[in-house]
Amino acid sequence: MSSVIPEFIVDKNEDRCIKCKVCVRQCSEEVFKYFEDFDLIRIYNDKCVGCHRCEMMCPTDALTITKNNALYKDNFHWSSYTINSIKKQAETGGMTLTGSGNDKAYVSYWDRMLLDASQVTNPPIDPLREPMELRTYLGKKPGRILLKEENGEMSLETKLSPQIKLETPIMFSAMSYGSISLNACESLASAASRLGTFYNTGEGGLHKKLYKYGKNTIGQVASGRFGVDTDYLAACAAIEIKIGQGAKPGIGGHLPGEKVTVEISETRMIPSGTDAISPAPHHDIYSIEDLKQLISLIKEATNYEKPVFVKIAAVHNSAAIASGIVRAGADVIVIDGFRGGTGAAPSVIRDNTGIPIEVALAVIDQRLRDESIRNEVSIVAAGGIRSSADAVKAMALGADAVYIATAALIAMGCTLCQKCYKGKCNWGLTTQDPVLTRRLNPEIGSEKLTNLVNSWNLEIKEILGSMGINAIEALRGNRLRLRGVGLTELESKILGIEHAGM
Amino acid sequence: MKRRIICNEDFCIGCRLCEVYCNVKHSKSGDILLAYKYEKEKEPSRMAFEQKEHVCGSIVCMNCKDPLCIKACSMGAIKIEDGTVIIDNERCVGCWMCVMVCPFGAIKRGDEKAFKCDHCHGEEVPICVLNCPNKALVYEAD
Repeated sequence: MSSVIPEFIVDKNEDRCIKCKVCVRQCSEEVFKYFEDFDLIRIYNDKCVGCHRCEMMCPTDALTITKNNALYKDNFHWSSYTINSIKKQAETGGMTLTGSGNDKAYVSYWDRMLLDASQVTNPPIDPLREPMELRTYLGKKPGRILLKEENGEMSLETKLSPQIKLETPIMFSAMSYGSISLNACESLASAASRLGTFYNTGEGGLHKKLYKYGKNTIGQVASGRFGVDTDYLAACAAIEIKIGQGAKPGIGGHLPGEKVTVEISETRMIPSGTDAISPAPHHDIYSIEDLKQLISLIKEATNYEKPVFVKIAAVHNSAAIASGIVRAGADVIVIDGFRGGTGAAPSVIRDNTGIPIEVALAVIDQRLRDESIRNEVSIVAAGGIRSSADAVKAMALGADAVYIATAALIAMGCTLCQKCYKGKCNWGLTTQDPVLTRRLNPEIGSEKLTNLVNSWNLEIKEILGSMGINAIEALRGNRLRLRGVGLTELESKILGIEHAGM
Repeated sequence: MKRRIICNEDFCIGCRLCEVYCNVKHSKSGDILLAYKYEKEKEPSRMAFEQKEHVCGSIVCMNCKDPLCIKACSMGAIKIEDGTVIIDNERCVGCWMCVMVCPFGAIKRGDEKAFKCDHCHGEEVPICVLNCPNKALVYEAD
């Protein structure tokens, strides 16, 4: 007998239920079972993960999923979540796992920052009437530019480092084929190509079906080196070395053998059915000098034509690490905050490790400026960007672009039930079960992602217009356009912004 | 003019909502709750749903160019009208020859007469296609 009280209650209104059994067929957790002899749909509340698939598919709105409010007596210190975790651990003796990002009530600095707008002395711009530029380039920028004149024509003498061109400062963050389904990868790839931006392969290699989206692909090289070969490096527009992930800094990855299907094994270049284990560290990187070797190696392998990203989780001494990464020769630094998502992580790590992206971004940008090396690198902020406002605030804090992944999954159907690690995602996202993966039609997924980013683009243009700015690059690092509310003096100082009223 | 409802089985999720909406469309009231809970006469769905392991799909009349059912019908009850194969209820005697010859299993036996998908009485897009949650059903009219 399980001693864990069900988290959710599935309420079926019999007056509305037409026994069409859509819920029975759609729930991969087998919450519903139909007994033909009794013409009865029996509900097992204890299996419900609260993904709301049944609720959304029910044609008569007969189902409601509610939180079990009677879940243990109210206790500020011992929450129902804590009690259930202890009971689960007492039953299994294992770590509790979880998926997606940190959901605990830590402060969100995005919500403590407000944007400036122009009035009278600095007129706003109407984005519907005047051109607004969201285009930006990622890569190392030269400290100075030399021009030469030949036959009366001016040209650039300075040799520029490789850049990638983004038509919008929003990219799709790393999610591997394996952690998400191929249909989800294809949705991201096709949306990135329609939007003129980039998606990231995660550490899942590049499926042969996705090579055609190569010029909108950032290929990741992580500690397991899965799927990395010359074709992969040649196909991708940029290469990202992943050191850490915001949801689980210092923790590797583990794709269980049962998920390593033939196609995944071919894409990752490992035997099928074997566990795909990404070690916590890169076993050849124990210092900035080691990192420099890998960066040089990748640059050499890609003929110095592609920018190399280095992605780290936002941790206590991020600023010093970032400075080292710039000196190791990276073209772009990606910082992943503690709200960033994951397919699977120990709950204790996800909920207690890392620092907020807002803080890490501000201190890294400031440190690089103080050391006069900010132009040597572009900064991409990731981890919990929920809206265009968060993205704009990130850019005002110093980011060149942002990565979104949880928001992208939500656009494709995810309801943040946080059960990605079970591999039974009812929306066909974080699963390899052929019954479930077909639930995401890439045509629909791609359209929804494109719509999401396009609507954020419109909003960003409105925000820029209200500030009287006509290009996203003019906002980068412009912290004067931010004001804090409810921040302590120390918090304002770290974020490098004035308090509202100043 | 040719009208076809095609099921892309790569994306059919087996929810069978196409059947539900087909039933509602051909009910008296046209209302899902009334049709299922209160109406006495119920027509079975016109969709032929099949599933084997993870592959599934709904098949309906393909409106063949040279339909076998027309050839098989000794009563001359089946004809093509504006690209759609139609069964004339007045003439049908329920011999089920059309049911036997249809290569798609798209014609079904009613109590006395054969019946099949009528593409929602010539509406612009059939109800099953409109309500397919994963766009697995696609309507082609050319």
